[in-house]
Amino acid sequence: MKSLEEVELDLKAVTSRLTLIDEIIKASKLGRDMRMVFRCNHSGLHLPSDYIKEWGTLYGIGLGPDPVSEVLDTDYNVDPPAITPAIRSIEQIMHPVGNVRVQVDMDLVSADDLNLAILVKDDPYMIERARIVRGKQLINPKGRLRVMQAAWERRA
Amino acid sequence: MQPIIIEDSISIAANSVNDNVIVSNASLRRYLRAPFAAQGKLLAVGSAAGLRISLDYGSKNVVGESDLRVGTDLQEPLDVLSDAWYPNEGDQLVLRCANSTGGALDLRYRIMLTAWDGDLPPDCRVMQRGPISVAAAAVDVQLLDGLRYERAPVDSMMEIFMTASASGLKRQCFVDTESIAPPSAIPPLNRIPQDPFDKNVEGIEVPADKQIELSVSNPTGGAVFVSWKQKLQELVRA
Repeated sequence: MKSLEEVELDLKAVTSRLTLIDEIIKASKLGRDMRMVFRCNHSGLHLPSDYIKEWGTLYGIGLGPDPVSEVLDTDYNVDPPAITPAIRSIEQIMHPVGNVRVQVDMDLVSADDLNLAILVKDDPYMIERARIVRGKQLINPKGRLRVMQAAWERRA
Repeated sequence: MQPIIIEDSISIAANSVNDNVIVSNASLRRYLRAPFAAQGKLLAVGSAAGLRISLDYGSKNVVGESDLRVGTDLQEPLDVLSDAWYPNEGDQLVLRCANSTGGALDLRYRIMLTAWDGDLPPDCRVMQRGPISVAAAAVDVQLLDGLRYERAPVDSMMEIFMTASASGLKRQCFVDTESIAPPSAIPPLNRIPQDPFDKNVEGIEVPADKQIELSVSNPTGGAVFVSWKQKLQELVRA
């Protein structure tokens, strides 16, 4: 967990209005653990308080100079890849994913409500994130993945 | 004669290689071979980091294994990987794509073939990589180490484009033992280099088979990412 001084530094990187710090202190006096985060406007997932300060060094590598959300989303308009002999596992098949690249907004949330996104730095080969997104694709009515899963099982 | 434009968006399965994305779309199969002698142009983007493509015509490679800009739309001229390759009539086009990640990714590409009259000019060979992490207080002595165009296959003129994710990186360039570019700063643009805006080194003569050395040093206290693009314009058609 970040100290208040660290959060203040993260906040100063994006604004000179430090009233958020006062709110964190006020809440802590009432026994509530509040955290400063950035919120992805597409997924609602939270991003760490230093997300903008460390843009280009820890986060958003290669995504350009302006901070945007690096959370993954599915492109249901593009079909999943075909099941060819080169495919060894059905886990390789899913609708393609991409970075949503939407605006992120500063927010104050309680520790209980914190829902941090898994970021590239923690999952560089997209193993963990692809598993989560694939699970969502399987239950999304727009997806074709269930049909392909059934085809794979028949083939097996 | 009218140009031919092939454009497609195709998903590449996790941890897999598609040996020729053109044939994956049945309606594009008839353009697998260049229908006439032409000037070719290739644009490509990936939906997230992790896709790597190469382009060959006939038995000749013109785009070495290259990383792509992350994006959903093709922007010209920013996403042009190469616009100076010249297949002959009947040459087979092979656009290979590898996905090294655990999730399926979307490759969007466009190939334009414009009819060419007369003798075909020399090709431009291209390679693009990044982001590549350079550790704190470390030197990557050869970014091209073991890559296809570490040595120019024929006498060529070279251009280098470089960008970094943050300030502090310095790059050097040697051809054989000759220092071409002394340690100089790389602009912190945090993106795949854009042609022509991010050109750092140009007008370099590279004799055939001479080694090209591109090194990067990071004197800062944190890891910084670098991206680069190399263009080798052949002086004679190989």
